[in-house]
Amino acid sequence: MKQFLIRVFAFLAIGLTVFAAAEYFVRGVPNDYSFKRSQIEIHREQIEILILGSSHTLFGANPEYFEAPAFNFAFTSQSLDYDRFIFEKYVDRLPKLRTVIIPIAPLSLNYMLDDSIEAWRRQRYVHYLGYWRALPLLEKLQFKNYSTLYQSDISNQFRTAWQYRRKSRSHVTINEMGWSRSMEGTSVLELSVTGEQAAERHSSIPQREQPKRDLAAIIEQAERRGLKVVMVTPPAWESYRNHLNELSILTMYRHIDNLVNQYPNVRHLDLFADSRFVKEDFFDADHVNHRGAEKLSRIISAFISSPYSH
Amino acid sequence: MIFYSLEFALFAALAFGLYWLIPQKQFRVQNLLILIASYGFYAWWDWRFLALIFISSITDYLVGLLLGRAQGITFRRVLVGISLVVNLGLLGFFKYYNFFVESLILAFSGLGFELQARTLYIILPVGISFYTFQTLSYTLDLYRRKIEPERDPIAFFAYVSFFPQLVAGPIERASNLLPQFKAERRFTLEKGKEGLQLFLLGLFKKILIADNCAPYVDFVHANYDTVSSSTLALGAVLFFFQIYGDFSGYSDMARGLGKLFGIELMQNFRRPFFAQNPSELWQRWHISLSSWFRDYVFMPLTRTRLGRKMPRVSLLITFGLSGLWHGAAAKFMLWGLIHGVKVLAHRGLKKSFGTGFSFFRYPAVNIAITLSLTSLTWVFFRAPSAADAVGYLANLFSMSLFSAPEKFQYSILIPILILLCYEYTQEVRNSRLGRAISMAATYRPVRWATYYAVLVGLLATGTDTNQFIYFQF
Repeated sequence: MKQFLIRVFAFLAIGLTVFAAAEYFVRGVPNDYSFKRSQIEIHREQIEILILGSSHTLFGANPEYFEAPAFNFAFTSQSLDYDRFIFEKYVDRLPKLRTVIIPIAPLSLNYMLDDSIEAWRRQRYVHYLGYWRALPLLEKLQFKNYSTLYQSDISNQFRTAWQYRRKSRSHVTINEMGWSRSMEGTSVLELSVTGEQAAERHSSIPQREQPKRDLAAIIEQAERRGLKVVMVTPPAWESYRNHLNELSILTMYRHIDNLVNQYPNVRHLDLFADSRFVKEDFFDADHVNHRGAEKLSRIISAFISSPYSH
Repeated sequence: MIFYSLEFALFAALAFGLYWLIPQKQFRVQNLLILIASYGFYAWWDWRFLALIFISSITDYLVGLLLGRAQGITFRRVLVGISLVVNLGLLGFFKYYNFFVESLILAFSGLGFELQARTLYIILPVGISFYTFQTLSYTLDLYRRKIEPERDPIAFFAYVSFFPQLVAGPIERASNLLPQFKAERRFTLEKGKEGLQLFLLGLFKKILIADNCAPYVDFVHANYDTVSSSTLALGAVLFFFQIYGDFSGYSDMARGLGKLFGIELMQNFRRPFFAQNPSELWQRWHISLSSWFRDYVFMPLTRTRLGRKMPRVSLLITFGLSGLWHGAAAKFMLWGLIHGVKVLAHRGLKKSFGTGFSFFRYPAVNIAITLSLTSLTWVFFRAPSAADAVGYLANLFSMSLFSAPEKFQYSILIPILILLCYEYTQEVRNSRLGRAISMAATYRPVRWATYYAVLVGLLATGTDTNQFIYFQF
């Protein structure tokens, strides 16, 4: 037994050492998560508007076009539970914070990152934003939450790390205020096709209550601190709107109306079928491109500043 | 807890440590630890179903004691009948109740009557098909006076619930497993190494083969009416590898864990891809189940009047029931019957022409034919229904059979080829490749490099994996 245990430990020790070295190699590469974490610390004394949400705001809300200093802390596929985590993490560290922007689309009230095919992104929150504290005990111990290598496509990670370390090629896609530059200069995809595909994907998300609880928690905590919450339903092309499950759209509006009526600090900006957004403003049927982002950002900024929103 | 989860790693490490801290002479204490650990393992799945495994165990323990004393044939039959009623009753209710109700409704409606019956929402307890058959084999062997009754309740309960094989087999025989719980177990370095090697092999099969094949197989079955014939053919073959990787992977992990606890579990798969005919396939595939049905269904049937007159019917009944064991649906029974027909056809051809399905001089050709026929039969197993399976096979034979498969990533084949090479060296031990690998394996750096390579492969596969297919049985 002694010999067996010695050999097992030796095997594990060698393997873990090599693994740790590889993990160190790939982990040091700056990415959008680590960059936003560092940038919000740099600008935290000035930030008055905190933008949360998923790709709708990541690509659609450019702080450059807001009248007040804004920071975009949205990420692709970020669901309301992660919005809540980020809000709770930073709300007391932003002394000038006045407004929180949360995109509410038909899928928002049911979608959860951890139950989707994008669940691997949780590791980014755990490693770069300290999300591990929010995990249940057994989940805290799960290896996959801490290892960058354990995520899929190891060869791509090594290639990225090599490019960064040898050629200083950055893989950060956001600007210093958190807006993603990925849609800069992109052309309009076939909107009818992308609209139908996206609507089909979003309509198959099962009903859940947790996202609604997370949204309510954000609003209540904001109210206690005298902060405004602006729920923005982002613009979408008609091909997406027409193929969505009607019930999901009605449910979304009903829930939003309930929240607006219940909480005096909450307002809703509905741009879902806004005619100001034309075909050239869209990257695909439910995401705006850089041109649409400028338009969307100015509209949100004006809404925040208008007397009605107080 | 699945075997490659963090919870199981912690559980197994704790159980292993405590187990071997107990002095070897005190194997009864070790049995008690196994029992507690096994019931804890099962409770982790669903604590509500602990009662079922307890009922099955206590019934057969008591029946066993009484069978040890009973001499009269009638009383002995009554006792076995009690065991059969309890175990098959549990299995029948939890697994087949809705199937029977729906079949009755269908049968009556075919005769023009509307039967008012309701199905129930019944959760299938994990492993029930395995442990009920395991305890039944004990009482049936006792009835036949092949073994002596077990008086030690802890040893018996540990035999029934031994956690490595509890939820997905192998279905152990009392004559193999029970004596091991009545003797001292010794830990040796060789057993430890073999145990870990088997466990790693099982992980390789499950994660790198089964889970890699699964998405493509799902895609093919979801689109069987639109994809090309070559895609359908590939999907059928890949499902064979998927279910082999899944099930034999689990069995290997179970055997590996057993070895770490000083227990030898039976081999459940013996390189089925090298079968040269349908009969041989069933000597290599799910050996514990096929031998169970041979010994407790087929052989008794052949001793009945009907069985003596119509042995082929006995074989078909056995295969049909074997298919039904896999799932409460007509397609599983059909799957079993098709296998039965193939075995009968092989035997018939062998009787008439001397070669059966093994027509050709070259084993490779016979293997390819058997693999192809078996893959086609697996379509019934995988398809949502028998009608879908028929539709799948109907679309299989067209000119697009010779086109390139759609949306196929050839990297899926790499672990499959590695597995086949490894199994070839096990099948043909005197082959040049086999001798070369055996020679290389004597060097620790080579062995460790292989283990690390497998672990890197497992890591590279990344995040979530699929549930074991056989957990649903």
